Amino acid sequence: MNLKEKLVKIVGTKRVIDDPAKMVPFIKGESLEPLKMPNCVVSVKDAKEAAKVVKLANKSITPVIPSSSGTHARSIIPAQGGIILDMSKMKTIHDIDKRNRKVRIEPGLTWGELNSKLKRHKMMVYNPLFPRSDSSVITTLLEREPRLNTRFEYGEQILALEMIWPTGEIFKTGTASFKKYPKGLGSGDYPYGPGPIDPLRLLQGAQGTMGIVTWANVKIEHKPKADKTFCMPFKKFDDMIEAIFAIQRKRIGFECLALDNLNLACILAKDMADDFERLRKTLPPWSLIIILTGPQYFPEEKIAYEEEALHIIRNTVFPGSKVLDIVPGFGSTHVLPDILRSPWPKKEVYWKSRLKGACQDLIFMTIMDKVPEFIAEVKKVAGNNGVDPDALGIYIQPVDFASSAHVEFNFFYNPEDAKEKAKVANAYKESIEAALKLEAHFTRPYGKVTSDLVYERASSYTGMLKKTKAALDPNNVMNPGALCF
Amino acid sequence: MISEEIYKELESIVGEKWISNEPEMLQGYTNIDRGWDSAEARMLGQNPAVVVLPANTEEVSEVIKVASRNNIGYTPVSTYFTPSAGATSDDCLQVDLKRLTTLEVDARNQNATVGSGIVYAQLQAEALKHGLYTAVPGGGSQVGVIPNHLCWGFSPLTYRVGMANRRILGLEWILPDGEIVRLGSLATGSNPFMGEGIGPDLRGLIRGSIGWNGSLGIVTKMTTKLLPIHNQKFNPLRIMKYSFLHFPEHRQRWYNFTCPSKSAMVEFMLDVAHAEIGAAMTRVPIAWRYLAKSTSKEDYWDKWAQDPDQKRKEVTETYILRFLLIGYTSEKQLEYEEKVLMKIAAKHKAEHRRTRQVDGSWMQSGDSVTMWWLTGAFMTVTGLIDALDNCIKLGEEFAKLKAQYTPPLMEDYGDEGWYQMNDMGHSGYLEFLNDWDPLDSKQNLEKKDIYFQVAGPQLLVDVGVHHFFAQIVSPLSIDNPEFGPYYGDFARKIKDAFDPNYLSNPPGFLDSLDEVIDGYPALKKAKAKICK
Ligand SMILES: Cc1cc2nc3c(=O)[nH]c(=O)nc-3n(C[C@H](O)[C@H](O)[C@H](O)COP(=O)(O)OP(=O)(O)OC[C@H]3O[C@@H](n4cnc5c(N)ncnc54)[C@H](O)[C@@H]3O)c2cc1C
Repeated sequence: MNLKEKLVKIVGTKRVIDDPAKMVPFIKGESLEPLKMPNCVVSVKDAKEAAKVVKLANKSITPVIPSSSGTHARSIIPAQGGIILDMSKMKTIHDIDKRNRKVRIEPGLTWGELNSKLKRHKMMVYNPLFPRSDSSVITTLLEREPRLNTRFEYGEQILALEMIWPTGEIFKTGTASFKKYPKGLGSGDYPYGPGPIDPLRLLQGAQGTMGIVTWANVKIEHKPKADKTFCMPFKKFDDMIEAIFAIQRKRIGFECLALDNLNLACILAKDMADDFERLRKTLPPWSLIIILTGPQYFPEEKIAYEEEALHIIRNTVFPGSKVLDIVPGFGSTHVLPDILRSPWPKKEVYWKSRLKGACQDLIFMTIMDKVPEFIAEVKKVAGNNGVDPDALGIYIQPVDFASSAHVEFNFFYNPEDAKEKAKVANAYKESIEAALKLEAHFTRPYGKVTSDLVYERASSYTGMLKKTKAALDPNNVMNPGALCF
Repeated sequence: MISEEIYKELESIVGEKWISNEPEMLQGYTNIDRGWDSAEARMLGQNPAVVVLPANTEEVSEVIKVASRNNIGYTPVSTYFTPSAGATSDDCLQVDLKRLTTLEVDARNQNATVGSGIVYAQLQAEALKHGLYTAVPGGGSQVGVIPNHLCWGFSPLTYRVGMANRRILGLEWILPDGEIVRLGSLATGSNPFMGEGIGPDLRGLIRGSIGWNGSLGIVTKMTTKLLPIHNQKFNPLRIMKYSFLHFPEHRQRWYNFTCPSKSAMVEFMLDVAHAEIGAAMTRVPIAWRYLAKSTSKEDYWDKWAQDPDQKRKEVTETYILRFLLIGYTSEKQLEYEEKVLMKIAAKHKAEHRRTRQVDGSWMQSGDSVTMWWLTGAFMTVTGLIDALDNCIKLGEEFAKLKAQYTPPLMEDYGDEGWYQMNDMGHSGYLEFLNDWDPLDSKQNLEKKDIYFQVAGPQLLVDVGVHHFFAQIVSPLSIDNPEFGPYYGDFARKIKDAFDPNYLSNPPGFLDSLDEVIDGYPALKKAKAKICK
């Protein structure tokens, strides 16, 4: 039996695809790198099937690339061919546990689906900035896309989970690690272990190289009973830093983010042709958006004490700016909580593709004080490569009370324009090099260009990562070539 | 065998003053009769062969390289609050880390970098100066920050500051072969502000639900996250014997309540968590109730003895909840949260009790000696972090089991343990506490060991829950097909890859536990009888 026949034996004929044309939707996203074809796509319906595929892959030394989302923001690049393990049909919500504020979901469940389900329970999962409606909740969280909610207490959103090790064993973590789970006295609210190692940490940011998650318990929270949203305009990001620190140190608000006018216009413009330019011009160069929330009891009173504290900070720390309840040129801020707590609407072009059709993100972590240096440097590198520095979108996300910052530069480009694509590719690569010199911390090194540059600089970490991978994935079957192995 | 030549080599690294094989010195590091009464320490505990005290990461690395080259087992020790920090193998090199005393607070980025010689009292004192704080563990503020982050990290404050796993940021780690590796943002930079890795997060190797207890190299420096608190002063109230911090009452207060029933207590806790307020909430077990009123251990036993059995039983069955509210943002936050708390209390008919606005346990100072050492020996038989309802049920199960082993365990009238809210109410926390007399008869101590090493762990298999203490006291957890399954196998893969000669704190709990049970007739017999 050849590989395809063996796979068919596991999942049936209909769920093995090897026609290149039919495989394209399973891998194609936005990428500056050329597409690569896998040998086949295998759709599985549960952990048992997935484990069988992984075991087979180990026997035949075939790469396995797990995939969960309905669409891919970035292309999936099977660097060495192999099997795309498609879990997008695994969409079960096993349990909505309001009492302990968690939901147990499979990897194919998307933001759009989960959001609409939780809405009925007046619950939510704190989300990053506009996850795509049909992207997987589990992979978004595994990849550690930063939450808009900056409060440390609401982090570590993945609790105990079920996984498949690279050698094919099905395994449960944390307090779900009982054979007959969910029977027994553990309901999976503790994520760590079992034992002295932590599979969750190894799976996070691993891009499928360390194993496969087949369900996870994810934290859910109450939808606030009331909100009040403010927009604080600034001319430069530098002027915003003290405001962010002061607000975050006082634990004011839940969601808080900083966007330049290009990105905010791409998000808020009703119509790109008519509205975008006007909006971009009217918006302040930088906007700091913050949502004050009121929980179950006396929601307005909580908002009131936070608002009072916010105004005191404004008067003392950033008197040059204002605390507005409108976004200049757009209108009232009261619509923002709903917008920001939803995935990007499925029927609309994704916000990053609205301007030119495609976007390459440069993302890394740093400390807040260093952000201006990065902005200056990346703009300089962009200019040197013929990319208009003012055409870069910038998004800064304070993380955990602003103890660190997610920095995102959006290089917008026309995917049909080969010249522009080449310029952006060069600018992107040089920006990574420049950012690394300034000690950017790349926790999510997507794509070969990024991962090669980043791992090259981290020799001892990389060595250790390789040793760990060899111990857990001796045949190197899990998404080989994606990171440093 | 640590030869003269090897001794000289080690001496050349740390200097003459910081190495010793003098019997008196070694006795100071003994793991025999150390005041611990664990079966493991009793059976495997030894004196080390040589003690070294390196001064920094580089020296630790050099020392470990020598040990590794010469196939010498070594045991790291920070403040030695646990027997796993003592020698449990022949010819052991004790690596004492108390000279690693870096303590730098980066107030702006809300973290602190500490060496392995720094204890919580020092860290918290510095943090509070900057309007920041961390959770001082229940074990007390005299314990090492690094080993506690690596192995434990639980306190009522974890309701708000999260578990220690999450607070670990950049760190320097000496692998079992002596190589230095830097995790988190230190992998490519010089600022330790972040713990996440480049891609996969190798903090996943350094600790899981518990840590390695020194069996996977040595962390010499760690940056830990600090969380914002108000910048008001905690005033020390009296010194010496009774050392308390007086809360700035307009920003931080305790609230104690008597709940009409256990179920009312549970619903009260959950409602507070759902209201998204509070900084900590915990039930007060019977022993702590007497403790709160006592001025010394002797006074404790006097007070205990004054109360008749019936009265002590009543104390156990009175459900007292203790809440900590903090006005992080402002005074008004405290007012708001108090209003919410009182409303929820009224709903559950909980009665507000008087309490002093001082702290001697959780914020900065540690009272572990009194809190845990009432009878001279203490151990938690189970610890669970999971849904509060599960913690409560497990406490009930353990109370039943404990009754069969009391005495020799200290009578606590069916007390169902210490439970609290954790992780902003996404989980509860249970520790089931046990005290006994370490000078009890051999027969009684055997009975106590059976409870810890066999009966308790087997109960966890029966009720179907994995928890964090059993894995270091019993192979019934690590090597059990019910848990993971066989989670110990995956830890061993990592151990084999990084410490193939098993030199880091040998034999290490992955293997010592079998040795303990198999070499201890009473445990072996009990295992055959109790385990299915
Ligand atoms: C009675 C009692 C009650 C406790 N209650 C709590 C509690 O409520 N909450 C809580 O969080 N903890 C609790 N603990 C744990 C305690 O807080 C300490 O964290 C723990 O005992 C470690 O103690 P230590 O700092 O003295 O480290 P040590 O005893 O010196 O070391 C602990 C282990 O870590 C290893 N080690 C030491 N330093 C390093 C290093 N730098 N790198 C690698 N390995 C190292 C040692 O070999 C040893 O195995 C309790 C402990 C006791 C004994």
